[in-house]
Amino acid sequence: MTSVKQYVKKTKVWKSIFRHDFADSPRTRLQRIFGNVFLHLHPVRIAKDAIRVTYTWGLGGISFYLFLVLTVTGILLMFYYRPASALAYRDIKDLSFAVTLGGFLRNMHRWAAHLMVVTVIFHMVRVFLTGAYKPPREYNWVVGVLLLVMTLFLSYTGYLLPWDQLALWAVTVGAQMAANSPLLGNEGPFMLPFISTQNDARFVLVGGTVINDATLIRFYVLHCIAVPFLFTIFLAVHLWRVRKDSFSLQTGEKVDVWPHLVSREFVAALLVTVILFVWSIVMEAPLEAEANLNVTPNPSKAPWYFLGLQELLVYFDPWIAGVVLPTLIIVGLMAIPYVDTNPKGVGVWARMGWQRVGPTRLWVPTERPFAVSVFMLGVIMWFVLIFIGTYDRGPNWEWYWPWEPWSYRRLTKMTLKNLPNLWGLVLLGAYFLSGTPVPKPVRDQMAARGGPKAPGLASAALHVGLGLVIAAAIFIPLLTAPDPDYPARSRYPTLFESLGRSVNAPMVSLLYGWVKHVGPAAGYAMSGLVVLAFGGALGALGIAFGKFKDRLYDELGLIKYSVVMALFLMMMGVLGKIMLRLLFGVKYVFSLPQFNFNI
Amino acid sequence: MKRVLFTVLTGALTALFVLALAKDTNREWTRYQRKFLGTLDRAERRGLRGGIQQILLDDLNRVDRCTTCHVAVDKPQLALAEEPFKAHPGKLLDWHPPETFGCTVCHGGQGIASEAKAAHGDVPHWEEPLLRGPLVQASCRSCHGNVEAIAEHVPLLIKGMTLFEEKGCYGCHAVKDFGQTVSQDLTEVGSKSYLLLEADFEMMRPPHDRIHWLKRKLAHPRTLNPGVPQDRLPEGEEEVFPSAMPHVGLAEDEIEALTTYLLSLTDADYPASYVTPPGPRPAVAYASPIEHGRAVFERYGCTACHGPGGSGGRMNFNAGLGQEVPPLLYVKAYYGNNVEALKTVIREGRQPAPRQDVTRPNPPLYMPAWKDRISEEDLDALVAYLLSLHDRVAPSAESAPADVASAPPADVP
Amino acid sequence: MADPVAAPAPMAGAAASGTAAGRPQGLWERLEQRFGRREFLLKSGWGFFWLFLGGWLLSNLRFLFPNVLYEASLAFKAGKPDEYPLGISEKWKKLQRVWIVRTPQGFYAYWARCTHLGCTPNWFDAEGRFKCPCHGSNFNPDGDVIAGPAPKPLWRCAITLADDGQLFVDKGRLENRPGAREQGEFFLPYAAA
Repeated sequence: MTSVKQYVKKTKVWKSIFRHDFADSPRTRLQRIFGNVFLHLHPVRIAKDAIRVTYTWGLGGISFYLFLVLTVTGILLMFYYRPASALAYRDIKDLSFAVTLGGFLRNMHRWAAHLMVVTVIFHMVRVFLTGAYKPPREYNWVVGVLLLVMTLFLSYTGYLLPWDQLALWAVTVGAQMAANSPLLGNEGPFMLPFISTQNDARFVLVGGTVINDATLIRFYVLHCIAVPFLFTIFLAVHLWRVRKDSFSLQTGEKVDVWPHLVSREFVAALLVTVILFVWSIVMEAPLEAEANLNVTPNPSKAPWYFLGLQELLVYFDPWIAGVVLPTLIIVGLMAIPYVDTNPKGVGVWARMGWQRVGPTRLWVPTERPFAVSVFMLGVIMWFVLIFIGTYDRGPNWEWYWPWEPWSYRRLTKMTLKNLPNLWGLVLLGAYFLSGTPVPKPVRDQMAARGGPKAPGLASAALHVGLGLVIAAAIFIPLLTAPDPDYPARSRYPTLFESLGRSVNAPMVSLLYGWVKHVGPAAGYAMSGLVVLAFGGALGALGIAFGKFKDRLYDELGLIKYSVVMALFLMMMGVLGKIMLRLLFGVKYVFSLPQFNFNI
Repeated sequence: MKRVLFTVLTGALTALFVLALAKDTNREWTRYQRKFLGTLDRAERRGLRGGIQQILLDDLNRVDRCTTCHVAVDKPQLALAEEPFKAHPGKLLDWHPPETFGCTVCHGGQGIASEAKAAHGDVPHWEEPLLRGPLVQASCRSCHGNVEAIAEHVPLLIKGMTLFEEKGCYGCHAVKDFGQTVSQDLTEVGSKSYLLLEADFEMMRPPHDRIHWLKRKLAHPRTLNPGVPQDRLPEGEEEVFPSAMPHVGLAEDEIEALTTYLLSLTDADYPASYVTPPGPRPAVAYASPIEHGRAVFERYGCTACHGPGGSGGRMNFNAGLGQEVPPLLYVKAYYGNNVEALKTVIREGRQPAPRQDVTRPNPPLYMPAWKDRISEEDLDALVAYLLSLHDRVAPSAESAPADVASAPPADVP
Repeated sequence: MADPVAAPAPMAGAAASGTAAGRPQGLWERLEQRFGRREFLLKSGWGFFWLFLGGWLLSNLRFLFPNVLYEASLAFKAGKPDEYPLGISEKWKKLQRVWIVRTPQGFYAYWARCTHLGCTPNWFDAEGRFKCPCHGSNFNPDGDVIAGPAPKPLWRCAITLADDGQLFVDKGRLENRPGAREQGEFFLPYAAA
């Protein structure tokens, strides 16, 4: 046996393939890495701390491995799948009914795709929290964001292929967003004069005006060839950049990549495979009834990673929720390394601690309090929206608590009212003005004129004023404005009455209840107090963070500050709008239906 | 530690792979085939092929794999007495060779499936349930336009068709080009999407499929749509009436027959080579204009609302004159001197029916317009019949069961 | 390789002598003078390259817009007006995605497609509203939005009476603005008598 082995190793064939022997010596450890095109992605030696499991959790590598799994299972599935509407659904059924391990492979493909979305998002969060995007790794973060977007787009295009109801309606909704895009969509705002259903963005996406075979083949090509092709290119850049830009953590002694890192990667891949196997054996990939344009499933839900977006669509005009907000999220993510000038926190997980923030002590990330809090708030918001979309939405996309049984015959008539545009404009204006900093020269000038306390007082006055304006712009119209739909649809002549009697505006109902039960004078007085309290609270918040804002401005300069503040205010604005809808029954804050401008 | 982890993981992976493979190879049908082959001797086994069997039906756009388990369906000499090894009864397979017709065209279910539960359509998201027992007669109409010609084989279907006409369903429901549009068009009720029935399914026990929905609807028309009474309405909302479909008091076998007929009303569109066109409707000679009129009265479904022989008694929520469809026994008293006015009412209809209480919604039932549907000749006969009604003794309560409006739903979940 | 220092001088001299001799200066000379020969060739080379590449990419984009569609016609005949009762008829929803509405005054037709993101709403007869299952938009029988995110009323299709007395519905012509949608081809006056 040994002699055969020895003999084989001496043959020319063997030697032409393997240039080194496999005994474990320092020399072969190096040779294994740079003698192998695949392992060559690695450096030969690496800092010990950088490969600690608890530093990276292997998330990037796992994402890459899942991409490989998806490629392999996907190629196998392609042998049985025909992208035509008459055949596609049957072929998918066939996989589980008549192909050896066909159903299993399909499950694996589906679950690996879900898992990849998770690991890619977590990888991004990890990179953010360890500050690994900071110079010189800014560009690789941008590439990473592009890869995230492509991961989601791959999932989206793959979703149509089974040609079932789930697929059809998720894609209908997604494609309609294209029709709502500004300039290029035929139902979007600022429509160009030559754009029609026959040549808009949706038309080119679905290859026609309705979703049919043309769409299926388009999505098939995108899913199987076009996007993976682009993905591979960017993935190569991403991995190469990881090498070239060096790792974010360089402490600890250097160890050989073979076997220290390679073994970890191998074990991680094994672990992921085990998880996928268990998942695929236990759970079948969903397949609903065959696609049918005539009946929409009720409720019709997108895959979970898009449910946050679908939930946002409830609160805004489609082009805002479906085009502007996603674009802002992507652009905002890409901008992070360029606007974050704080050099601290590279190569360590963000540590939490008690720190003085404004007037109080808060439990915040110590080194990068603002960056980490805002980023994590965004991530958490995204997952909360996904949670709401998944567990709190039932038939007709009405709100059901997770413990409530769904009912298709519930008599809920939602009453939603627009804020009068003028008030909406005041609200938006005051809200975005509250991002204004007081720059240092101005502060100095004020201090010179009015004493050392003047800048602080001015800032406080500004914020309390804006807080009160915001509160007033929300409550005054809700308490006093006439219902513009009256008498056509509403039985009650003012917004206060319409919303106060509805079931979907708890805050207004509360105030309305006071006015009804305690009497108008006391009720309105109490409502006034609420307005004052609300405005005051907003003002106090502004004062608390006013100083921080000014410092941020001094540090970042005008352009970076504007980008950061605009993105931050948009994010908080989305949250605010959601609250206005859920608590106050406000449909749109500002609405110009002629221009499809509804926010 | 690392080595332990490595071994555990690779071991687990191998075990899982074996498990997946075992799950995949040990299918339900393999057990059935093994069991069946076990009953045969060597000579009988010759020529039998194991594995998934299928009948490929390109014309009908389907693949039927039922014979994978129902191995002896077309081999009576090998068949056993128990399912799934029985042979197909009767001569039906001689007339409908399985290689041309397959199985699911007649029996419903999911032909492509290779597991019993999925194949029989007892899984979510498959909207063609297996037509068990005599319900299978429903499928005959998809091809046999002239069901009368095969009447001896489809007694239940014929009975259902007759009942549909007898009970006056056409008075409110249209099927293809015949019947009224007061309520849902039933032309394709046999393939109505389950997604449109979800609200109704909520009011009945599982199984939630089309067959049970039809049966429930026919047995207790109002339990699936009980409406919302005024005292349970949210403030400011408008009252919702229960379904206006009259409770016609069908017997169990009548429900089965009607269900069969309704299931036969599908959107199936088979190639012309499969289809026999319907024969012409035989012309009937009537003994008298009044007989002719009665035939018209029954054919167009007037009975459904006005009761047998115009005796009335059907509930119509919030309609004037006591929330009922008016009986026709007094037509002569009203219109005896003005037959043209009567004809106008029949031609133009009365839509919506006058309300009893103007604050409540319109009555759901109303007199539809018949001018495009009833010929002048038939109309004259109908009028003659209506005018003759006062001569008769009003049918007693037994012969015209009053509409059981508030029959408590027996098994609302 | 031209001597970078020496090269401009003779050229300038040549140009000067050219004008001095009263010869009209050729385009080529002027370009040479402006860019230098090698520079000019390189620049125009790159110019052509980007022109080609841009055009090629644009034409590829155009390639993705099909010129013919395998889709059903948008117009259809919907039977005799008298076949429709007052109220909302779902008869054509399945085949044509259209609701035909009859009022005592006449007919109009809705395209059964939510103006929000294109799902098919359901008609709830009892509640008297259309509800969209995707994002919860509600419409009243006039097609106006009464709840949910839909930005616009339901689209009404052109509806006319064909020569054979049937309703003729065209989904290619749509209107949803109050005022415009109740007249012209979007409303068919039809008395019950």
